[in-house]
Amino acid sequence: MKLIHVLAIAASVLVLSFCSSACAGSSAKTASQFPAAELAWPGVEGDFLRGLDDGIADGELATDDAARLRVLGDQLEAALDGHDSAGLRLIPWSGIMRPWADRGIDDKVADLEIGPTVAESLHDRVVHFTATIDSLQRIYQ
Amino acid sequence: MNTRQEFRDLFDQSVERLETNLQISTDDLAAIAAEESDRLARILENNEPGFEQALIAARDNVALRAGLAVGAFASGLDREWLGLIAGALRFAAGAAAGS
Repeated sequence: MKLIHVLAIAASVLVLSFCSSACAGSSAKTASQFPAAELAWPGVEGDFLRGLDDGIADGELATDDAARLRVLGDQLEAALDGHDSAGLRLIPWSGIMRPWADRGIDDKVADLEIGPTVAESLHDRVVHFTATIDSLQRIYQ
Repeated sequence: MNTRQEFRDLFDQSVERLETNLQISTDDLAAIAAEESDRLARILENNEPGFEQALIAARDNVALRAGLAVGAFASGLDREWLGLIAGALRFAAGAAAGS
């Protein structure tokens, strides 16, 4: 066997072992990220819906647009429940939906429903939830 | 004994008892839980409204940051983990705020 063949086989083995460990890593990561995001969603969703209501009340969000955003929320929930990575990739959480969750938390503070440290905790949940969704969407790009 | 060490001891015992495999070490998990319980203690000390919302957010933050493989519809041992974390956070926050 020529040296070039040995090198080619060694390279193939390296590539294969890298792929299998990378895929296993993604799989293990996904296995834990989906349930954690699913667990956090009801709380995040409450803040998101509150933000939409506040946007409508302040005349900054049209009712039709709010309805479309609510549908996206339902689709996000379905993707999390079903561990549906392809469906999740289609949801524009970070750019379009997430600001409404932050707005909902700020509205709770404005209404004296929660204090500033509670708001910090809720905002952190949105941050960690967003990072998890981003990560799940990146894995399947 | 500090809060982080108490959390770690609790999680060590729970991992053994529940025969669970965590994605991170119990020490890292304890560090995250201690951070969250410190914040809950501040909320209690300041008598801020919304403690129950913060407690749920703290539990979610621990799960998201630790990548805990327990979901909203967890059952059996997974549900026991969630209850354990939420209960420990509440207890530690109450103890810290009262001390």
